[in-house]
Amino acid sequence: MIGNAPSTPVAVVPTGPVPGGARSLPWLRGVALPLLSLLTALLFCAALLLLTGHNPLIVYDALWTGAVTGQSSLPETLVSTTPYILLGLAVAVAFKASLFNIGVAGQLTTGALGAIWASQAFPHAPGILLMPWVLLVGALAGALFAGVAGLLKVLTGAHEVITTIMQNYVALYLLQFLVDSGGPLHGHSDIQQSYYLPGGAFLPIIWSGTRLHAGLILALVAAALTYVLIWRTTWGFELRAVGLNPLAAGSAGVSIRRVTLWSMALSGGLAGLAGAIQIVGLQHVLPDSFDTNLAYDAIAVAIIGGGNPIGIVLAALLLGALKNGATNMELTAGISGPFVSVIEAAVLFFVAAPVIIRWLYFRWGRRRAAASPTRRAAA
Amino acid sequence: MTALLPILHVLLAFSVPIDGTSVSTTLQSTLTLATPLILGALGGVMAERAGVVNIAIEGQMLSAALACAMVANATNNLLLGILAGMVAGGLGGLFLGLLAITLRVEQVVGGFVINIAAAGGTSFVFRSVFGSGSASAPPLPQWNLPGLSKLPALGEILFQQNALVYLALLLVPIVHIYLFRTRQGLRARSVGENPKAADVAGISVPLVRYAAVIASGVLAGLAGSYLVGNVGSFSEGMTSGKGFIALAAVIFGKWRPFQAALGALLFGFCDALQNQLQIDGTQVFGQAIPTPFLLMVPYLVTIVVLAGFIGRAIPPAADGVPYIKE
Repeated sequence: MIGNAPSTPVAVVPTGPVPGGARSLPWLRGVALPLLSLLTALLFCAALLLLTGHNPLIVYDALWTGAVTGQSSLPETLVSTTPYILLGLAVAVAFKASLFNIGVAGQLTTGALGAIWASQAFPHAPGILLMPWVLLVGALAGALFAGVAGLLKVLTGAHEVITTIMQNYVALYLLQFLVDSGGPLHGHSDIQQSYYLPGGAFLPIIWSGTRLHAGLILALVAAALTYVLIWRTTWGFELRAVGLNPLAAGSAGVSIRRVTLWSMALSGGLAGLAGAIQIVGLQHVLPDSFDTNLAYDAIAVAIIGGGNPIGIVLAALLLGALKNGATNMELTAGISGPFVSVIEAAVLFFVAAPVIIRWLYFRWGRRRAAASPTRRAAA
Repeated sequence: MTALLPILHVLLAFSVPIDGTSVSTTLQSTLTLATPLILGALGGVMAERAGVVNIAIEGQMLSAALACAMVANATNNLLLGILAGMVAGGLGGLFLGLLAITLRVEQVVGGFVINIAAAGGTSFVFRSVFGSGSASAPPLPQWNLPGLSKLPALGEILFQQNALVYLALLLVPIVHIYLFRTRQGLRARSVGENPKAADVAGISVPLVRYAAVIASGVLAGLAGSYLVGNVGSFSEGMTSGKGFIALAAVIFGKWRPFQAALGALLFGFCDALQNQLQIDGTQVFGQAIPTPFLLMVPYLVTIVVLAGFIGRAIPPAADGVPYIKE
């Protein structure tokens, strides 16, 4: 499938129906499956902790304190959640059109670069005008960057998985060139970072005494709008049709090329908006590095969230909590921070392979009740 | 191939100011840098020919690199480290097989489960074991092939390398012969092109596919071990997209070992060239090229090369499609 074939007739639906499963238990896919996956992943990781000589209760307690109950833990978790919502949406929108956008880290970076550049274009404009302008330019920068990958796919069939991953590195070095000393966006200091955003353009704080900014509201609004766009408009219908069956959609008169191009642009626009919001709401300045694992985290959010906006917001909250709780976990439970990524991968594994969850929690019970040989033969 | 000519022209235009020794250094390091890509690309060819997209090569490389560094560090024996890396890569392949073949998870999703697990897992294990220290391992010794290494010009470029470079080059014809000249290879390809027909002919589709992804993982593991042996230590995220560049080489090579290796060499050349341009401080229009732009070159070339093949790369028919026996 990773070929240059422009329209592969394979639908990429991350948590699509698995043969002979979900239809019999419709509530399973939406609610029970993600929750049971989370539970199973936590149990699995607890077993890992026990094997390596740690007390899982202490570790999870430290994680919970760091993520929720500790001082300023909850607002900080929400601060981390904000970009994950938008990045998860970005990946999910592309998923719906059967596209894999692995380049959200790069698009986030170009979005942040666009935001910084835009703030300098009109430094004396009143903040009420400057802020939306900065956000708009950030989103456009992300959309254009992802649009290149979409355009290459449409024109030449270059697979977006490879091009968007390569673009992550291109964006990283572009960032270094632009904000390091000598670069056009470099600030007036020895630190390798851009100049600061003018104070008027900052997003307001919505929880006084914390760093939680209005970006969270913007992200939630974006999630709602994306839902409307994908599920309640003709454009969204075409996008989903192409994602489910490009051959059928094409025969019905939908332009696959147009859908591919625009869904990549929308996906990149959401990621670019995430970058701009990080600048306008939180950092106010752009350092010369970014976490390349963000792209992976965004995929995890989209898959765990089951491709729907509510699920994505919850999955983003989970990831925000994990990442934010990691520091306290490392400090008080003495286990290295990246362990939360192991938890993340475990949740993702169980969500991606729902067969295991079904087998663990449902077939067991039934198998005991029913005669097992026939079941096994049927499977 | 014609699509490449303009790129090469541009690259050669840049390299004009390079003198003779720089050229041979560049070509020598081309091979050094291309080796993990060749190994990864061969792994990709093996898996995709049998119908499984191994997008987890990156993750398998990374976990193999850590396994190699840990074992080599503990035993002070690189060979044992390399074996550990191959085992780790093979386990990564087995895991992908479990997801993609048995559980029928969408293959790219399954691959990313492994990539994400490897990115987080290697950092976690590395920091737990080594703290803020470094996982140093004995480096791969240079092995000058007797006689051949004395050849003028070519000797230095081709035959003053380490053992894994020779092994990677040797594996190219071996994989080719396996795929196109043996009964097992024919079976693997038939499973990748038309699993139903293969199944009817009595070939076990899952078995062949499992063998292919495990072999693919072992090759990726060899690539990861090479990365450690080449620099003599492990660092977090040290694969930095090489697994994906290897996959681009697979597409570039149209799922054929020799052409894929050629693609890997092209990417290796770009990387070597940007290194050399950095060292030489090459100037264009009287100005030094900023380092970030040089670092961008291998990734940009990957995109350009991938886009240069207009509708001509056709993957194996059943590549990425799970097989459900009726």
